[in-house]
Amino acid sequence: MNAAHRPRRDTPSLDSRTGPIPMIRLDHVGYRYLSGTAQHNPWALQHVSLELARGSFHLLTGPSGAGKTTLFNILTLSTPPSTGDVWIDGIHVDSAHRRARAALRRKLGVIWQDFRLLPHLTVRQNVELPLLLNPVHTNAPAHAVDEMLEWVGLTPLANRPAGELSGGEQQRTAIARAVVHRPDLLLADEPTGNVDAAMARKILHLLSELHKHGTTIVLATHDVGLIASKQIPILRLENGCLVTHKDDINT
Amino acid sequence: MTSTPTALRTLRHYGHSARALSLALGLRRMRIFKLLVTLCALLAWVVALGAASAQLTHNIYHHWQLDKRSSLMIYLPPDTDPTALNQLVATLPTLAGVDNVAVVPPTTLQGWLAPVISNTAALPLPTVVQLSVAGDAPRNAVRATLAQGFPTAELDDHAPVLQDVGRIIEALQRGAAILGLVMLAILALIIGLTVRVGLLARQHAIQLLIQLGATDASLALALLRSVVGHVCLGTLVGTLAAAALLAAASATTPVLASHMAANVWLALLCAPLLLPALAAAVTALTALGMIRRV
Repeated sequence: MNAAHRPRRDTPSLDSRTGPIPMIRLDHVGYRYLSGTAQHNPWALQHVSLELARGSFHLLTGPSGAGKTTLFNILTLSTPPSTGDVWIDGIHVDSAHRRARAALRRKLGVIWQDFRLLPHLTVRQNVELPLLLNPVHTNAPAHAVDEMLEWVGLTPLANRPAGELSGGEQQRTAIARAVVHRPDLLLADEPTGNVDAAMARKILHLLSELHKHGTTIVLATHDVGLIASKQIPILRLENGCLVTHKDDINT
Repeated sequence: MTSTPTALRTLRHYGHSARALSLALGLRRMRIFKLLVTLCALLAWVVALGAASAQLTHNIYHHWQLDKRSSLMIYLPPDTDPTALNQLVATLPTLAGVDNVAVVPPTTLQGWLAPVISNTAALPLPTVVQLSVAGDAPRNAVRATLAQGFPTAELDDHAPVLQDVGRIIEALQRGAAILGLVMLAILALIIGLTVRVGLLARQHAIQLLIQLGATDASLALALLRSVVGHVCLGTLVGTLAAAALLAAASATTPVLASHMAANVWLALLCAPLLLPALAAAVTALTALGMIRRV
């Protein structure tokens, strides 16, 4: 994935705004693929501007190829945008020092569609990684991990290497890892994609609980039916453009 | 006053996170690190023996130099007139810088030659006069004295030989130093390559750990901990093997044992310490450079 990287600029200011700083702010964000297959329309994202308040819960939807994954990668700080500016928790991501970006990432919880577990580590070791990487949580009690493993139903598999788990078990491990450190912002890409309906409801319940405790959540999913009963605003992408950014309920 | 607990907490965190990252990166399972132990053991063995040998050579030369520098031998014809000889023996101590003059007894001379020449009693042996001198000053005066009464006498002066041997010793020591530098350069290349290969093999894990909030410093520290640990292990093995070899050589060769001063053992033990220090520097630089590009 080749992006047109831009030279680092001075931090654009948020001073002109008043009121609380949003958890996520995108200002005319665009992303262009430089190589290969997308020659006809190399822009995966164009002029995406949005603000998500702290403690909000949003769905990110759209058809395949709409730019969901690209936007998800930009929000998880995996990919810098080709154009525009991104602020997460008030920090301008593009101009932030690597150390500041690392500190920012420790405030995030990310559930990737492909799980991204370390297969040679046990389930417990995978789940406790965010705690060990954060000075605030280094001495976090082991029961935080135990509670999370119990919650996702993986206590019996705690000492099994993640590489030996089924897809659903890996997904639950990835979810436990993403939330064990109580992130300020949770970004989830199809977190219910590989689990049964009961576990999917349980996961949504967990996300709701986290949301009640103040975590900002962005959930990318095709399964709008699953959350049809919830009052969740939708961000809809089509052809790389944000076509819906509303706080009303979309069922 | 509150900075100490904070610093300790930070250090403890880095310790915890380095262990966790080392485990997460699977550094212990990397075969190239096991190869690093073997290579470092070999290099440490060579560096330790090279340093010890250079020091030992210096010791032997220094001892030999002290022994020979103050000694001159005068070889007179076998038929030298005893009266003239006595006169010479009486004259030489009056020269400035000559400490002692002694005629070597024929039996001693025969003893010197016995290992290389048989039946020395039948040979017309020269008369040998041994002088103890201080510094270089009396050499010309001795030559002048001999030229007057004993034009065929030969003066065996060790100074030119000592100078030649000194130059050879210096060249050997320079050679050992260059060899040591070459070894260190090879080690730097090996470690740089190992770190690069290790990081490339774990690229996805590193990307994930960065995504989870690992800093460049904590990742580099985890790698540093692992590489320096392996290099230290290899260095220890190589140094112990070199020490065992030197001890065995010393035990079986008495002439070597007499020159095995503490500085030889110190050179043997200290020179390999450069390996972990170099490994740490190369790893830190390579790892930070590569992690920033991941």
